[in-house]
Amino acid sequence: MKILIVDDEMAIGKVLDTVFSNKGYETKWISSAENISKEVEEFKPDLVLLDVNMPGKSGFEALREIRQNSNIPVIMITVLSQEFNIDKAYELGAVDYVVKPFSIQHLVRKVEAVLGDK
Amino acid sequence: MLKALAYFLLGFQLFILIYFFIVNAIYTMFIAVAVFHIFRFMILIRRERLELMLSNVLYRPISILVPAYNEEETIVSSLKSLLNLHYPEFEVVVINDGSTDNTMEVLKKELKLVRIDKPVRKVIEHKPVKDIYISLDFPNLIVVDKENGGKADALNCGINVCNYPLFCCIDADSILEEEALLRASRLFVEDKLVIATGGTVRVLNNSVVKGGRVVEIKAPKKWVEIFQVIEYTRGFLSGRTAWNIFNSLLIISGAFGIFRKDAVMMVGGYRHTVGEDMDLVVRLHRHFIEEKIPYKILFVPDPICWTQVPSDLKSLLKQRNRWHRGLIDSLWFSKKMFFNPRYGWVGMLGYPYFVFVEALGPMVEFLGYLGVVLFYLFGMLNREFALLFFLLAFLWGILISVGSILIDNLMYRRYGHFKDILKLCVFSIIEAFGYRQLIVMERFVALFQFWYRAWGKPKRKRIEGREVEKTSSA
Amino acid sequence: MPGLGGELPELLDKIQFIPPPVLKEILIKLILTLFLINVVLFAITVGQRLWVDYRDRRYRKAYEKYTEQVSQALFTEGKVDKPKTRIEMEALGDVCIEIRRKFKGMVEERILEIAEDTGVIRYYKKQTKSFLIQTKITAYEKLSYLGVTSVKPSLKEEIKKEDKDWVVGKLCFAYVNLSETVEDVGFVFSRLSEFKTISLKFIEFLWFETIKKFNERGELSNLIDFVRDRFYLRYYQADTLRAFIEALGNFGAVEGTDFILEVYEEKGEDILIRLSCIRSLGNMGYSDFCRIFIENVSHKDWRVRAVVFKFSYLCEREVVMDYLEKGLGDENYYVRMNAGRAFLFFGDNAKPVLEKLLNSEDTFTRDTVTYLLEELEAKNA
Repeated sequence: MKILIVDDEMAIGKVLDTVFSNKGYETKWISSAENISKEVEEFKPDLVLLDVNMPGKSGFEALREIRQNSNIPVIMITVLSQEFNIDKAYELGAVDYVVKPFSIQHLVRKVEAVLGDK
Repeated sequence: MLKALAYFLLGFQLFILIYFFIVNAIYTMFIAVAVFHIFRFMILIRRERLELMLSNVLYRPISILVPAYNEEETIVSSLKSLLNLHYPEFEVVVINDGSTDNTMEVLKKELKLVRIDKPVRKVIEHKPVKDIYISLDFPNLIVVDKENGGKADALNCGINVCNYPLFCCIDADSILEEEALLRASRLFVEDKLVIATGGTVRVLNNSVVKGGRVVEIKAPKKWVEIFQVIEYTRGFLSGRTAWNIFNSLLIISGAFGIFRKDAVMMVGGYRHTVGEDMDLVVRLHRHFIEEKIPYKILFVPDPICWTQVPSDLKSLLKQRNRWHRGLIDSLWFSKKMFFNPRYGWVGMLGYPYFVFVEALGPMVEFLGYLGVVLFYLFGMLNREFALLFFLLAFLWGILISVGSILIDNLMYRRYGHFKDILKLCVFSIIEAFGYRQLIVMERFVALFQFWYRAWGKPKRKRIEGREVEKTSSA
Repeated sequence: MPGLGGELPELLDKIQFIPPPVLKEILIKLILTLFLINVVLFAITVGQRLWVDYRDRRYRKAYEKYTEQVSQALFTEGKVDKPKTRIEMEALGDVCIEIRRKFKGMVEERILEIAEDTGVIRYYKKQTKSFLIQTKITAYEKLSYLGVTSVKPSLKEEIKKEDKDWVVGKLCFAYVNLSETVEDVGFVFSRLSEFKTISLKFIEFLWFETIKKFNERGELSNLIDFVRDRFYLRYYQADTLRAFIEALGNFGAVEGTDFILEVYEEKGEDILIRLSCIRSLGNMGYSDFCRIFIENVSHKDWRVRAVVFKFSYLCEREVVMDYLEKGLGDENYYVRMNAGRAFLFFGDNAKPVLEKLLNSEDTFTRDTVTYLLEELEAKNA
């Protein structure tokens, strides 16, 4: 199982990378969503963890782009907890979201739930 | 007869040399003062990641006034960048000064303007307002559509319309640095006596702007622009900070200044003249001293506004001509402050400095350069004079320029590439040969034009002046 | 011309302008000094450039290294190297802070352990003794992000001692990050209320952070009880209270509803308090907002009217429409604007009313309605 992690902050990217590779997933961390389509095409992940607030292309834009040619489940990572943005994420086709700061166990459970269904 | 002429020429030479000596000495001294001052200041405000969020500790709500005249192409994008500023509480007031192009239509369409009947108390006189609009998209935007009356008139109108006790006037094509307003407004909170502050203005040309923010600072490519970078850097370093000590700052750039509204209303707002920005500051000084109200007008070096400067020689010269006429006009209007002990430091030091160095300086400099050329042509150039002139007018000047560029860079670390700093240093040397003389000449011309015009229609001038005076004492 | 020039230069030479040698020497020395200063400045510029580049490079490298090591150490027995230089220390500190701020749960404790073991905490504690105010503030801030509660006593002393408002503000921010008990909260906000120059928005922000913290621990109702007791019943602090109420609303803390209603009923004659209460209730989506709406929709102060219109979408359509129509003709333009915007929330339900208003005599109403209809159309498309 492959997980693609998109987050501009190295700290989060690296930690998530470590967590999931320790759990036996194949992971890849990229720090920008600029070439998201290409990355998805090449890496062929089973799940994408996507940060919302990124300089350049935002998480929402990236999600829209992913949705244009694939159905890979996407979990959004965000600091925005207002309902409006959560709705927007679901509307665009995210399967779940976590709000920073979040607990790792919590995220792992979510990921396992999504990938377990497959 | 011949002897008299010789003595005259000798006197002339001496005068020129002494003049250059004094001016350069003042510049050097002021830079030293500025360095000392800014250095103390910089320790406090080392750039920290969290600073932005935390500087909200102190602030006051501000109205940003943007006068617009025929700016249909740029107005919407520059407004959007203003409206996205990180500042807890502010409003933007756009004053469409009877534009003849589609400025108003563009604004209406892009910003969803709705006309309202906002009652405006007309504390300061200005040309009639046609309509006032608010935006359905941006709750903190007001657009005023008025008849054409010039920049000063538009600003006066903006002062009447705006809601907050502080206002900031900026040009429609300038970009405020993110923290600029927070930093400048902090001053008003910390010191109740402050009635006006000005920040540093820098050259925007060729820097990279993204989403209304300057992301990367680069030195411009064209030589006209590079020379202006040097001029701005040198000018703000040597010409502003030191005046804080004497509370005699006479210039706050029209491109970026923050004022207390009540203070400006007291002097009757802006006066319709070519140099309304300087004029206002001079009259503020005059009024507050005359009324014996304690006050402070300060320059703060770190709030920064980026501005687009003319990129061709012709418009540059035109701009300088206008500035110089504005300068002389503002001084002329408040001439009774000249060496008048009643006006304290401003009258005895600030004002005369502006008269002798800023206003009449170009004349002396011009005569100096002309003299050297003529002496040489007539074979009268003696070696001593030539050497001293070169030392004083050229070498010292270059050293000041290069020093300013270097100091500025050490303190603010703005330019990312070392190449840019080097380029600026090299151009600081070239600047002394040609460019500076050109600017001096244009200002010299402006001096004459002002003279001529003031003589041409003296009557109207006087009436206009008296009128404003009446409102200012009321 | 030569006729004139021929004798004059000679004459000039005779009475030649020869500056006293002393003066000339001084001048040349002066210029030489300036030249030397410039050379030195240039050298410093070059040096600084190199140093900054070097430092940035080192910092980035250290940051990468430590991110790797720390994220390993979080879950396994991996070791984190002890930083040897200041740059490495700063980088490790930032890595720890960054991770701690983004993750909850066991990560927080583990990070604290790592910071303790590697000497990061000792390093920052030493910096809190610095004579440079900025260094001191930064050190406290970083310690507070790491959750080092042991610095609380010294930070408290610092806050008591300091008299500059912005310094107090910044230190209080650090203290809020570390606050555990309601006593901490009481201390910070009492101290802040002594400074009239600190903006309410900032105090609101600090309340928001406090509420977030207490909510995470499930102690939000304790906090509300405490604030009620301390800043409402015992010492009535209108400004502090307003900031707290606004923060409750922004956070969406419905637990605070009863308290806000209490303040609203008892202190509502103070317009500023009233506004804060209404805004807060509106922001948290109070279920009985309609009652508040009707109570205030004709209030004599326009600010009150404007605020209730802003949240009119919380009421049922049948109740609001008439008021909104009236609101569009209000004498104050902020009220009119908010009423206009409110129509949007009712979507197509508002269409009949809007179309009726297209024939209004008032230009403002007509303009707004035209825009609103366009917007509704765009939404439907």
